[in-house]
Amino acid sequence: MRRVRRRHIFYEVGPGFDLDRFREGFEDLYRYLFGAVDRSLESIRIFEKGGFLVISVSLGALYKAALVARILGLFCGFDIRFIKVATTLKSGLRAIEEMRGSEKNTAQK
Amino acid sequence: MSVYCDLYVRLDRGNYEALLGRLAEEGYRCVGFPVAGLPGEVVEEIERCAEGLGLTPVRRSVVRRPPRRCRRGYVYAVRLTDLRPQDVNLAMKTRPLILISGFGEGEVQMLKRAVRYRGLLFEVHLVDLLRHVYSSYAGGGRVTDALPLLGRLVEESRLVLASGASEPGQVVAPKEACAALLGLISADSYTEAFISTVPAKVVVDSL
Repeated sequence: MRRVRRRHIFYEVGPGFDLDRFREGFEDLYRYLFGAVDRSLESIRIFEKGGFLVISVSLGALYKAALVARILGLFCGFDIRFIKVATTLKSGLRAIEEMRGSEKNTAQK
Repeated sequence: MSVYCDLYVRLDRGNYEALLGRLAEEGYRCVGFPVAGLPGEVVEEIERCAEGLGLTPVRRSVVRRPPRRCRRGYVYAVRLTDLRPQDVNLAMKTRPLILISGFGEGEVQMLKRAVRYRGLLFEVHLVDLLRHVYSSYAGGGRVTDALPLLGRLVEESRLVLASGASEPGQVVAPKEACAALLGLISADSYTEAFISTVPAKVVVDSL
């Protein structure tokens, strides 16, 4: 079986973020923009982890997913803020933790 | 090193502090803002605030015809709909940005013609482009035919991407802005060229 290279897009979410509504809007807009036959939608996973919204996507659909999420963020009232793209979930969470840690240290100095 | 530059942010007396703070947070190093309609003291306040946050301010001016001479510290733009065939030669010399101000049938026709001139640099505002996409989705219409042309401009590194943000919520991180545009034009390869080097070149030329 062919291995799918995946990327994880991390977003910070505001209070009251509705994941189900976001997922529904995402799928609908994705189908409108890229067509119902685009099979990459089936492999996109959207979930919350460690207080962040994570969109797990194949490499080929990375930009499409980023576009759809941004449109939803701008015009559908979803309070999401892009943080980073990581290869694995674990490395992404670790990198964010490190980033936050170094920000805290800079603020303390 | 990439110089992230947001060449068009709609700043005014009420929103500039929040917007500039957000831009600095997102990693931008240079910011352009239209000065038309802003009193001189507000422009100076904005520039002071931007410099305090480590952002290089650039004044934007949207003109009806390509300028004959460019003032230092200004980046000029001519709206696509204002660009006349007789002005193209001048535009190639003084290199104002050609602002893609809409995505209707008329603009697409003009863009088709203007793209042929290899010396012209174009500018698109991401928020306006995404708003157009969203309203076509909400209204059940078609997305603009300008997308393949934008794709060609990206390939040739002739597209300057600016957010066109007027509130902090509309500021998009530089990498996300690139990714969103690439998603729209269905490009495969990632390039930061059109968000960093082209604006930086334009900015460096103008300073």
